[in-house]
Amino acid sequence: MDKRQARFVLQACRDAGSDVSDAQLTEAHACLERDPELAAWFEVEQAEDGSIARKLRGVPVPENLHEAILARHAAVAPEPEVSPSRRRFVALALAASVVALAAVTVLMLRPARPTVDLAAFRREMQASVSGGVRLSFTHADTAQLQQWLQEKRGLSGYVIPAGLRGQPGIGCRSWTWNGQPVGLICFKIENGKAVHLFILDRRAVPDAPKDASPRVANSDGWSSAAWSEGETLFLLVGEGSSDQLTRFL
Amino acid sequence: MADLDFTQVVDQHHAALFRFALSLCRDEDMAAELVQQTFLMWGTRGHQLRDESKLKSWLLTTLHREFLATRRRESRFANVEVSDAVHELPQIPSGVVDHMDSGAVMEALQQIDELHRAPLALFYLEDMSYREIAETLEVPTGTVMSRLSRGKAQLRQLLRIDDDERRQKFQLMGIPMVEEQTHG
Repeated sequence: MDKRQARFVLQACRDAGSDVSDAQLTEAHACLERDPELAAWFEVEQAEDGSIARKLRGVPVPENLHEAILARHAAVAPEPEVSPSRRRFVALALAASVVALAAVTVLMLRPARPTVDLAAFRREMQASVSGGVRLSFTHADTAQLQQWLQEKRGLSGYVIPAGLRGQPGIGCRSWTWNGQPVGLICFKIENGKAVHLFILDRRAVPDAPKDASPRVANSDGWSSAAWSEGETLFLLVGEGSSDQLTRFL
Repeated sequence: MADLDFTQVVDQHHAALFRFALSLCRDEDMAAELVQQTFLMWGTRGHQLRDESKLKSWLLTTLHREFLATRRRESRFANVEVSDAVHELPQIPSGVVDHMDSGAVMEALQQIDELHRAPLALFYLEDMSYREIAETLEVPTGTVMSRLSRGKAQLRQLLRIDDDERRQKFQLMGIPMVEEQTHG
């Protein structure tokens, strides 16, 4: 191994002692004993790496991230747990019949599938705004908000519903849901309140409405209306009754 | 595998995942979103993991995959032009990085092109060996070594630029640079 090769290998070396079992690094380390210049370089390289690592590991983490993760997890309905007594019954059924065994195994031991239907989408999006939402970009002009969503997440080709066009914007942000970007535009309405418009590719929600007829739902004092126009799924969420919401459609 | 409480997993790993995501996304909100997506996937698919010791690697790999999937739909950020002839740059003067704040070093990392950024982030943030990085990013070990080499060179150049700009600013303001002080 020549000097250049040794440097190439040693630059991937972690703190002294961490990679003692690696044959390639061991061979490169042996070069240090024969080459003082290489050894001096390695000492500086390790010190530099240590400084950079310490700085990067000191980058602060958003205070609300931990809670946001738990809240989002709670908003997705979990698969029901199989109780211990039920498991014993399953074991007996398995011993008694191969056919029953296959049927019960498929029913009781199937892996949990992520819930990606319209109900889950409503639930998660409502949860994301009902406790207050941090916006990535704020502006009263909704055209600016739409432009931000297009530049940052590629969301375009949709038209703001007629009932919202006269409402001033507050801001916007974006998520990813079922692998697709979701845009959120918040609009200011009377009495200091807001309504929240989510925009998503309709194909991300298997049971999304296929037409512009809104499907309305109520939950925990909030209302939501879902409809589609072309390939875009819209979900409008607001606090209060569905009558207060649907006037914006 | 023993049942891992979801909250415990979040407690232990959300900070590390966020810093890795931030190095990839270059945007705090997107990084937070990526972390949330990763934990959601853990919540639904984590039972598939048989070896508890692989948990962190699983989370990092999943996050990286989600990042790649998301990136395909988004516009690219312009990368800082880095000279091709950077491999032989002298090392950064001693103490330079220690005088920078964490955000500045992270910003420098974020400017490195994406291909080299991910292995570098895992090397510095997670203290992973090149073999572990290869497993996490699902690329050959030789590829990791090359990307680490080039990534480090790019980072070195960016940190050097940052330090030069900082020195010029202090000179313009007539403020003497405070070098590392020794006591006793």
